[in-house]
Amino acid sequence: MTAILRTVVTSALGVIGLLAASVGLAMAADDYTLPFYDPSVTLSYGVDRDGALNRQLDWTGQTWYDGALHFGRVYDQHAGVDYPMALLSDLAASKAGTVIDTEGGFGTQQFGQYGNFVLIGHADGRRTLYYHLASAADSGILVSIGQPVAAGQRIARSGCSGQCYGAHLHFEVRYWNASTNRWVSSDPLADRRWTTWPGRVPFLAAYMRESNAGTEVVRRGQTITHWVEFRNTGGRTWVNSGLVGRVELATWMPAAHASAFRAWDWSNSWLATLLDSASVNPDGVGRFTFGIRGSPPPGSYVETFNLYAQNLRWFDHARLGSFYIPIVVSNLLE
Amino acid sequence: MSARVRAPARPGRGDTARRARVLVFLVPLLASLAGGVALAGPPGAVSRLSAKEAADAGHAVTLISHRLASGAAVEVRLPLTAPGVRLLAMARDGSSAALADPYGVDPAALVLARPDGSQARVQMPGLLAAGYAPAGDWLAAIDGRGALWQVDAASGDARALADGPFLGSPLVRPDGSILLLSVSSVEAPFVSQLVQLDPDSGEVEPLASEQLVYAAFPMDDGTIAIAAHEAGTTVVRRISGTRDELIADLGPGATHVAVATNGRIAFVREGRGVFLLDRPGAVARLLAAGGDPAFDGSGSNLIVRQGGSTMVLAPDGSTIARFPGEAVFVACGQECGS
Repeated sequence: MTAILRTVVTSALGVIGLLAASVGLAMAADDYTLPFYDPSVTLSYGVDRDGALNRQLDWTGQTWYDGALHFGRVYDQHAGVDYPMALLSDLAASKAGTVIDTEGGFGTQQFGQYGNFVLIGHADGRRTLYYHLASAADSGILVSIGQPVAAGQRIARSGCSGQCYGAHLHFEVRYWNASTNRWVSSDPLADRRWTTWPGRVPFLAAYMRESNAGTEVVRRGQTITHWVEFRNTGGRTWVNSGLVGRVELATWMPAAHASAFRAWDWSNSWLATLLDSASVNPDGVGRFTFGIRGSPPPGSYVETFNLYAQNLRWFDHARLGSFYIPIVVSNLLE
Repeated sequence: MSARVRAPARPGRGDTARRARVLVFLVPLLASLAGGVALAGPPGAVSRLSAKEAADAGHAVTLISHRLASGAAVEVRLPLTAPGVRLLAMARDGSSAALADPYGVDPAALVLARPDGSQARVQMPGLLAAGYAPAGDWLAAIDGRGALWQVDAASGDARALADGPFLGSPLVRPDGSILLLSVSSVEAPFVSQLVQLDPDSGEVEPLASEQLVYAAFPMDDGTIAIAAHEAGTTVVRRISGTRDELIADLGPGATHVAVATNGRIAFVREGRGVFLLDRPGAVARLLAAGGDPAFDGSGSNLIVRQGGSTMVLAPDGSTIARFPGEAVFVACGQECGS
């Protein structure tokens, strides 16, 4: 009964979703996020908003009249934001766009004056630059010129090419200044207009609650309905439509394994369900409702799930509360 | 080609200087601070060491001249007590070598080493690159923040020329002008434009429209060759006045390009080695493992770095000489040793 009702609701929402697709996609493709997936990565140096030699204006508004390094804030004439991270960390497109240029010929840790980069153009006219990347030979460049990229798509891996004193990503948001006829690096930290969700990685979620936080007991051959809610703690709006980026609940450990508990409403053997609602903004709560069928022989089981941004990225399962469902299949036939 | 502008190269510096001058009349304390904005900073302190003093301090740098079958090279033996010291440039006649502390050290020492073992050590706010004037009497040096300095090769006395930021190895032309790469940022130079700076007038003139130039090379005919990144590839172009001619498209991933005065091209493909392109339109051929290729003055032989050692290679890839450390070609005459 619940499943039937959910199907009706889901179908209705699907129609609404189709009608509102343009709006939903506009919401989903709305904003910039941090260009990596690990939320524990922190800033080492921000943009020197002053730009003149020996005078530094950092993202908090403080000015120094020196050429010294100020960790967490700024160094003199710095044109971007630096994020230290391990070599070969995955990097994400900060926003949807098209790859304009790449360089991958420099060594992953090759000291020198120039390094590897990806440059992406965005529909709002801005460009984002990802610098010091690993070499193409080390799979540091994962996109090619002219390729459209989705927001949050993995585009590169970090390195230490060029003027680099420890693996990090140098990230710039650039805009065209018509009066000076040149591209200018903005300050993503001080200029919060670049994003409504500063400091957010693209895909992140926190466990909130579920229909039964204990053990689900299901009779063999029976299907029960289960739902779980996660808060969107990332920077991208969750949607349940489209081929790229829609948010799904799928089996985990190992990823996308065929589940013995697949119910009739699953899309396939590993995809339990899409996000129930058409979209969930950052800080909103999304519910995922799906059936669990008692197909296996009677016994105690555990099925583990994770969120998946279709064709883009699995979420950090640990930060999802390592979500799993204990399931007991009883020996009473339906 | 492009309008000449006054140095410093960065836009808006004139406004900054004007604001600083206003402050002089208003707040003396702020004026003293803002004074640093208008200059790259005070000249660096210079210490001069004899060969013995340098050796006693663990700073000994030895320059050893070698006559080759064609031309000559100077081998540079660096102090073992100072790992990471870099050879930045050598005077054309081998009379002086410029070395620097490792990348990222601030303050850094610009070491001007002479064949007799004596040194001048100039303190700089970091050091990225340097290049000698043709006569070897002075050199242009780019500090850690991209500012340009003129340094006397004998005394080490330095004066600030322009704030920059600049990158690349400064190329001092016979008329004293300096070819530089004006960059958006020394750390992530996504924009890197070839400019010419007149050290006397301070004028900076863009020479090419390419937006990401990796290096510039003088040619026999007085033109300039540049190695530049264009979308997805690396190219070599010849710049002459308003003419801009494509010489070679090296494809994606070609780095550390060297162009000989006769137009031959060497470059590196990461993980594969040094390739040689004998003439435009020819197929590049793998010459040797290693990196950082550099041609001799005639454009025939090549120096290639292999690990910590240096190989001198003939155009067919055969080894002419091998040195355990770094070495560079020089244009010395009878005074070259054997």
